[in-house]
Amino acid sequence: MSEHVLDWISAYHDGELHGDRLRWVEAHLHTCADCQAELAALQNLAVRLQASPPMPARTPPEQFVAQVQLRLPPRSVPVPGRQRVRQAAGLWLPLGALALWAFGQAVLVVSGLALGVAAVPAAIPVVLPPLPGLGALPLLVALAQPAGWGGWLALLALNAGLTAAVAMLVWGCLAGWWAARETSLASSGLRAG
Amino acid sequence: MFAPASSTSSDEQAWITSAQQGDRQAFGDLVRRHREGVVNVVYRMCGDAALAEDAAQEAFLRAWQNLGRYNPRFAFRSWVYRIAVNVAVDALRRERPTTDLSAEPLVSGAESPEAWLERKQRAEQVRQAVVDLPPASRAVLVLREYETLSYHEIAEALDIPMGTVMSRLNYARGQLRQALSRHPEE
Repeated sequence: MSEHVLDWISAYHDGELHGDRLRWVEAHLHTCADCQAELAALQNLAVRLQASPPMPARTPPEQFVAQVQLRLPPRSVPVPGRQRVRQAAGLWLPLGALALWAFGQAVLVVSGLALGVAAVPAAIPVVLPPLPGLGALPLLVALAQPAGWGGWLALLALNAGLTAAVAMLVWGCLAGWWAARETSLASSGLRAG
Repeated sequence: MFAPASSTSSDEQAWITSAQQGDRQAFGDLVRRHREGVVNVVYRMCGDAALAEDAAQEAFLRAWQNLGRYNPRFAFRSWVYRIAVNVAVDALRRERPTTDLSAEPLVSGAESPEAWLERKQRAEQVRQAVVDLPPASRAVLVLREYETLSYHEIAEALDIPMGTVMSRLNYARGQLRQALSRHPEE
């Protein structure tokens, strides 16, 4: 018996051979009694295995499905690329706007203070002490001085506008996040009722 | 040389996509379609009907949790059978299987009690011979003989090369023939 062909008898028995290999094994089987016996033994084994009964269903199919569904834990849904970008923007945009607003407030407070100080000499002569760390102050004073009190009011208006714009942006982002969350819950079936 | 693997059907692919988005109803459709196969794989692997349904449910739970990692290039059936095989091996590690007399209905009206007993004994010999195989060879044999997966699908399901599928199958069949030769059929 050819050991080489014997290796392929199992695959032949399982219908896994095609083309030249199939024809080669078939031709060999016509002439080799040992390989024929091997094939018959495999067929006999398959019959014995199939005679072993499958497991009878203990739980009706629909009940099985329902039991599995009841045991399913909530699963985090994988986020597609575009949605991930949108989610990141929804988080970082308001945070960036808030940071910008805080910076603007700081600048306005400092420049307002400087304007106030700069406006004083017209009424009360004051000498600014040379304070360390206030290197930018003379520049702010110089920038704001031509406008005087009018410039100060303009800065206040600018501050109010900026605050309103940032507030609208943050609330808009929060509303968008809430709407997306509601849609996600509804589609995943996690929403009660 | 070998037959190609069967692919996942289009309606099944739609269920998978919906289930990946968290749709439990779609996952229920997948469970309904593969319940019988998964229960049988687990049962043939552990040889214990009492363990099989619980372990099959566990397999579906793992499938749900890992659905995001499912690669649609492979047949869903192969993927879920791989999970079923792993769950069965885990279940066997946890508790020893028992001979389960309730796995088969009692004497039917069509056969005598002697014939029933003989058939039952033969089935038990086969079941025991399969359970005695090493898990790696047993998994290949179960997927081939009872679930009629192709070699390609078995290779996918167990993540092993085709040559390994063939060698494990040859080994399992050799062992079974040897074990069952001690109880020849009349």
